[in-house]
Amino acid sequence: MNKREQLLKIFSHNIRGALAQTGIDFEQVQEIRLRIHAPLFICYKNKEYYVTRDGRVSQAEREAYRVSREDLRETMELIGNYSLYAYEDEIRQGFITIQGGHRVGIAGKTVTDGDVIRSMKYISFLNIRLAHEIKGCADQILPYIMQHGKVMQTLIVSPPRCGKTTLLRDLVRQISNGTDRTEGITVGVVDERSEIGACYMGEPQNELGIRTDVLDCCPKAKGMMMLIRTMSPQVIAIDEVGSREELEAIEYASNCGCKMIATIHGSSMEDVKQKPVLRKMIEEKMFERYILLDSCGQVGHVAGIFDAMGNPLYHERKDVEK
Amino acid sequence: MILEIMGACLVIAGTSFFGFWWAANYKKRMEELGQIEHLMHMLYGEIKYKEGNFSESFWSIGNHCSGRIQMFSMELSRALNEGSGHPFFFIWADNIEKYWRNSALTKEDKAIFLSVGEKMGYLDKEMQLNTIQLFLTQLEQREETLYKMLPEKCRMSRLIGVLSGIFIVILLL
Repeated sequence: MNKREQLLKIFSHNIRGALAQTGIDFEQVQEIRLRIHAPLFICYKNKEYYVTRDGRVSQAEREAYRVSREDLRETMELIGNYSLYAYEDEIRQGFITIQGGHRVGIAGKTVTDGDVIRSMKYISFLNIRLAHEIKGCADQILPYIMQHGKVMQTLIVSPPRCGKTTLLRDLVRQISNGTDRTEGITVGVVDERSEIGACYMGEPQNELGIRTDVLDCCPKAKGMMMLIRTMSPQVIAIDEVGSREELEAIEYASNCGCKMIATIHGSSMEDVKQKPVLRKMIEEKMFERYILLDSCGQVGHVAGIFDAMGNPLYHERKDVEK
Repeated sequence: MILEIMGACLVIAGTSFFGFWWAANYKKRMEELGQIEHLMHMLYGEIKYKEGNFSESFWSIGNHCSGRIQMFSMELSRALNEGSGHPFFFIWADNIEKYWRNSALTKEDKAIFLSVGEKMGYLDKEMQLNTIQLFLTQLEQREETLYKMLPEKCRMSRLIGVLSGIFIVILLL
């Protein structure tokens, strides 16, 4: 089943009809947004368009197809494969991963019990983010994080939507499969929000390599411990670390001889140092490599690579030292 | 005379066959209710312990069953996964009609089986489990009633079959 078919089958009859007629290349679609009584948006080739009732993409709002409550109800039923009860945990977290690894963000009225979100009702906003694998996007980075065939403890620092997960995914794939210069290494992935492997029914929809074990939908701190005890990975990859518990688990994993590749939100090294636990880890030189991404020019642009001391190894596409 | 005797024998054999078939039908109904009960017990377990969606659950059930239940479960799983856009009840009802068309189930049995589909697929896990539990209770009551009456009904059917043949023969002679 190709990406177009995978996507069309989750939409209500009317929206499916409109999208099917557009004739757009679904490989170039980034997002499709459904908001109640609002136009149907599509982010195509990095630009936002309205989808019209007669199946065109347009920039004129008056022609746009308006999403109804029935459309949202029907779409949710199809996204949940008629079994929304099976996605209670995902709905509580605000997203569902569908076949193909695409992620559906959900917003509506949350039902809370004290501080705990129990469920969500009146789901009125959906954001379908299409999964994109960019194989080879880590080619440039890999030589900097591998030394004598071993992976170095690496932290990828990036603002949102700058391609850190895509980069991490490709790093995992290449480290696991091995390259012309390096042998394959056993990698464990703790994929709390199914963003790295995008597992659907236990099967990673993105290629993560032949020596990769994935712990899907598992809290990162607990998952790291589980992987170390059960799968003995040489490298553990995790996305978006931040909590004290997660950082402590990284410390524990490092002491067990595992190398970590983690990502974190931040726009600069100074920004990252603001986080108390992380500052301590940086000061203790827990990480051997820092990869800084930014959104200058294109998604996934590498702004700099630094060593444990903070010395630049690579800066703005100009090698300082390799 | 020989022709008359042969005719009488044929009539009695025909009605007796119908009586025995009718009795076998009661047993078949009992078996089919048992199969549905087994299916729903498995579905209950799949939802409670595996927390899979319907498509996964029915596929798994199909892999552990045989005959009509296997075909029904596999086909239902495939149809749900297809994403045709039809509501769950439509797909459920369509498959019941397809696989239980030639069955010994009564109209009421089928109506109860169909009604489960109306309440499935929305709200939470608790709701799904309660719906299945309620259906199982109804089903068990029907099975119990049928089980108590089964020997009597079978005997009556066979007897009526034979006696109606004799009665027709007497009338014709």
